[in-house]
Amino acid sequence: MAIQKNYLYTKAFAKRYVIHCDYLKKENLEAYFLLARLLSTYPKFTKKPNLLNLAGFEFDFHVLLCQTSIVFIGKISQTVHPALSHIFKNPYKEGLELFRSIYENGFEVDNLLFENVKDQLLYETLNFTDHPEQMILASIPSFLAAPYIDAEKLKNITISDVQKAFKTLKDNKVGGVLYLGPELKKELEATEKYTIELPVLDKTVDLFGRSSLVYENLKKEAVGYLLKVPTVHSYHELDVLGTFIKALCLKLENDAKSRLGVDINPSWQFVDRSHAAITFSCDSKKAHYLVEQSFLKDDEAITDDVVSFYDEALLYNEEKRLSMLLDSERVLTRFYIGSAFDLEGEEFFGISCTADDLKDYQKQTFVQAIILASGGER
Amino acid sequence: MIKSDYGHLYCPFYEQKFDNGLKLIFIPSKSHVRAAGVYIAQGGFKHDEMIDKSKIPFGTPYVLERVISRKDIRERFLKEGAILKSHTDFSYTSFSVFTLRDVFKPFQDLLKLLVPSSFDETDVEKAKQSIKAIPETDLSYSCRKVIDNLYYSSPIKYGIIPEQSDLVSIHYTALKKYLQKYYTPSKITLFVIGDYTPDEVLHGVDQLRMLSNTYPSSVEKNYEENYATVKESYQEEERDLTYPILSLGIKFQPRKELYEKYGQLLFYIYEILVDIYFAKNKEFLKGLEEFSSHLVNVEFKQGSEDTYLVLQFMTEKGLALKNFLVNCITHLNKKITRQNLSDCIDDYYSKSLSNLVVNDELFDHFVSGYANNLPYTGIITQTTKIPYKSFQTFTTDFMAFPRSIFYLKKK
Repeated sequence: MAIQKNYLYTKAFAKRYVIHCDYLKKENLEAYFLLARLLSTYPKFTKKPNLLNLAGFEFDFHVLLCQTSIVFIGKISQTVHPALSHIFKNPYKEGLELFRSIYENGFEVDNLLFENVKDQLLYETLNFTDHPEQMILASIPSFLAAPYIDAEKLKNITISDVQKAFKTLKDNKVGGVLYLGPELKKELEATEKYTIELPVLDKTVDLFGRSSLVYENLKKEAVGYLLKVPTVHSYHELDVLGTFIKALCLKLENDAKSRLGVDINPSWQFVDRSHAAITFSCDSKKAHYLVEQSFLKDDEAITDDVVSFYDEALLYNEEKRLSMLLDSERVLTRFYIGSAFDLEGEEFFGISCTADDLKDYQKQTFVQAIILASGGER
Repeated sequence: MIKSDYGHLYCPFYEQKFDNGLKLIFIPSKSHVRAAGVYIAQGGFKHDEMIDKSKIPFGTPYVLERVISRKDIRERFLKEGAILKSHTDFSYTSFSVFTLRDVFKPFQDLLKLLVPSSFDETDVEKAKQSIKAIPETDLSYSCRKVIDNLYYSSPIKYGIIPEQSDLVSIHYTALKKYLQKYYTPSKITLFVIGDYTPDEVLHGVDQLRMLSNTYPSSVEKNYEENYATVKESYQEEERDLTYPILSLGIKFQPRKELYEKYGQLLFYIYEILVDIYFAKNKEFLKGLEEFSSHLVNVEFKQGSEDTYLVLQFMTEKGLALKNFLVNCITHLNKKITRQNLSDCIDDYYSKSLSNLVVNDELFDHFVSGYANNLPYTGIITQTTKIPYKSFQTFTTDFMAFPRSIFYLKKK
């Protein structure tokens, strides 16, 4: 295995990926969201052979949050198998050529089809409102969270709005290209257009602007904790951080159940080099109560006993390490984080961490903000 | 061990059958992750009313799987560097371990779990508590309703996971009797996937402490299903929901009848059936667009004699879509060309190859194919050879399968 900022050589998967990331201002989110779906589902190909007919080839576009901006991700992949020839031998050449073809030709829909695609997205978006913890993540500048889409705005998007967003995307100069797959015979050489550095993401930003969010149609409530954590420089530190926060999640879950009789399922998200967010949903009218009773207090260090949850959290880290070798999506997420934050170290697939590592992190972690999401008064 | 090699797939496998009926499949793999697993030829489809004079409540196979792979056991495996996974299907149950180390140690630990003494009533109660009702969405409600309308009495309509009311009557004794009847060598196939030689695998398996065959008496669950019609062909319901959902259910002829007519070809056709008729059929999808409707979910399940297909659409134009679907299915044989079949097979082949490289995918696909006694590599190979004429004959039969539609409308 060899890893650099923009590529990861590994034989662990049956696929090779070329990933194109465009970092854009967080505006016209709904138009980009629709654009991603149109490019994925109705791409216009002018060049023969039709890419869709190439064996084992898949592509997909999607939009994720990236702190205060958004990232428009294009992902192409092909099965790596002796029975198939590879589309991209050199990801900077053939791979980017494929992207250019899709980006240049755009999508092909008439008005009826456009409205249908929009309708389908609306259906998915309206169902999303049952996941309030996702809405919290979407509302803070978290890294790689799915965006919260405003259904009303989406309804009013026109083809012309999407075409404008597409033009901005094509003119965009801030981005990067990543490769993940088996080793290439020739070292990657960056081409002029794609040597642009990723945006600096670890600037101080107003991470939690509001302490409460109200969304119509929200059937449940949610809680989010923003944590100030030791700055992450390497993949190993990312693992220690993940394991420590898992211990916090386990304690939160245990306390809610044993002391308050409430079932919650907390999860966490990396925000930037020095911040992470824990979120969970709960039944209506429970969020305030849970926050009041929680061991995590606003603007305070974590002094409570979390040590008893270390063992279980360390096991979780072991499972994550093994699972990564079976799940390429997990690897891709880790790779995005590593590339964006210039993480160092050869331990991409993780090494074990210890209880002592976690203790160090506990001493240096503070709750920086708490945010609540609810459906308002009913 | 007998080697089978469909050369073009670069995925040979070896088979061995032992005197006690136990079978072993070994698939060499260069992946870092080694895998081993147990396939039990009995799943969540309810077959028995009683075993050895004990009542077997609905959901027993699923609860047993959850008891065996309970939280503390999974943690124990993780401490040894292995992930334990399990799954209950209608036709089979599987347990598997994945590790970067030697796989035979966790494999032995796994086999030790498949005996009644590995758990007690407390474990059963804990597992039952962990089985929480899966929240029912509008989509899953609509799916359940259409399946219920398809079948008169087949247990397939109940699914696999027990409701809270079923859980009350599941206790240690039922699990023990069920395990003693079905978790026996004659019903089990062992799988090993990794960078071993066949001799190393045989040696490794020799060292494993094996289970023994038992033959408890049982009373089969009797039911009579009418395969010529459905219980309810059309039903509407109004609900407070975000989007209306139309669900189409198709009830296949009994498996035995279809198998007599098509033999194994039936299962190769099943591999591509959803894609070629609906999910990747351009004409069908274009037709849906005209009614501003979208295919949002597909469920294709087999269990005992029963096979069903459920297609779910979001649509504001339920009646028009209903007519379109009926029209589409009744003319399917005129719409599938030789070229359509060829394109669909090409797509299937290239997508299937990736399942042969990652070991959990490989295990899952081999195991699910094994429910029909077919190796996955054989399924891929034979699916690429489906004759157009036979496919069209099946399509003509498919067109006549009884159907049911459930339309969940906005209040």
